[in-house]
Amino acid sequence: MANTVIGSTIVIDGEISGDEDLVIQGTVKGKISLKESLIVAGSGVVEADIETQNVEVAGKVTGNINASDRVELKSDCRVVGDIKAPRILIADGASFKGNVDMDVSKGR
Amino acid sequence: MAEAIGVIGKGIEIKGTLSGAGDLVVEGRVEGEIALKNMLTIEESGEVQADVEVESIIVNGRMSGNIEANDKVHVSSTARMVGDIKSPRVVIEDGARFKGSIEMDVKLPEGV
Amino acid sequence: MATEIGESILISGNLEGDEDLTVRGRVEGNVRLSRTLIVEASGVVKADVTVKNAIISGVVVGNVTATDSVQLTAEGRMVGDLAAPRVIIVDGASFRGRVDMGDVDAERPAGSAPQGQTRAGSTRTAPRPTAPVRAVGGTPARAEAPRPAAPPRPPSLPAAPPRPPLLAGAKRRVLVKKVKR
Repeated sequence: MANTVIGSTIVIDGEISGDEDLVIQGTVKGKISLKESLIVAGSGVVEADIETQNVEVAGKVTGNINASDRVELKSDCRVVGDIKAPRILIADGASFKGNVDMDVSKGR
Repeated sequence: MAEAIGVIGKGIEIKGTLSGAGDLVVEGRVEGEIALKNMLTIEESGEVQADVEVESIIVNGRMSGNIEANDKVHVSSTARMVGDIKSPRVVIEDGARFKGSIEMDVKLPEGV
Repeated sequence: MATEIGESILISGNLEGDEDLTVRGRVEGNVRLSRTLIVEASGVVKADVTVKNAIISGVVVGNVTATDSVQLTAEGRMVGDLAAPRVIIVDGASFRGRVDMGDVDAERPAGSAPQGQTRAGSTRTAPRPTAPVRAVGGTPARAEAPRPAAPPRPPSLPAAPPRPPLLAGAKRRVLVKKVKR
């Protein structure tokens, strides 16, 4: 799969959708909807609702996360919003405020 | 069978309508209208202020007017052109100076 | 630092940044970059674009303004207006729209002559204005070679000095040299 990387100087105000992995090192405001994995790098700032298969956050996310497989909050990340995913991993040092819903319903 | 080429030398000026079936090279100045079945070349020293209808054209000099070509328009790096171009193929070299519109056939994919 | 948008990605909205952007997917809306936009063959940009450089090998629908250069490569297709000091359109590209490179001096200022001649006013040795002139295949009469370079005169002489006798009042003959290749 092609590698999509949104670089650290990029600011996107709008919607992103796609069928491949996405790495965000810049800023995205709006909505993100992916069939694969989203990685919010340490420099990444996301103010958006996220719908994807996997999410890995090392940066900042403000918005609700809805993952069909798993969400991982790494240390030093800052997440504000509700997380809904069957599997969640929150590392020591991560900062999180919101609701967590691990109620699995397949075939969403 | 040699193809006749017309040359309008430097220092020659023409005001009027030029038409013909051969190739034409303009090193001087033409003002009016040009209709050629083959190729028009405007050399670096050349200046054309005319609407041009040709098979193909190479602009190395000054051109002020509209071009309609059946085959190709080539605007080279020494060209200075103001006018509209309508042609299936258009080439603009780095260094060319151009202002006007270009109409080629653009095939866009579905959903664009 | 460079951003790449993969083939299956669609971004719709405003995108701005200070780095190169390579689009293999689809971007709609507005793009503003202080560097280079590269639209690959699979890329579709349906947006107004303001960049330093643009290299288009895919599809762009929208106006492109570049402070430096725009290049449409052989696979590039664009509909929209281009404004840039340097524009390169490679054979094979397709384009429909306006091209503005700034001021273009396509006409010599009135009063200044092509090499070898000066004239003050409108008394150019023009051929008869109404008769069409055959460029080729027409009258076989061979012109004298056009007058050889006149003695050098400053191009902006206010009053034309007397013409060489050959021309003053002389009826113009055939003006076109026909050269058999």
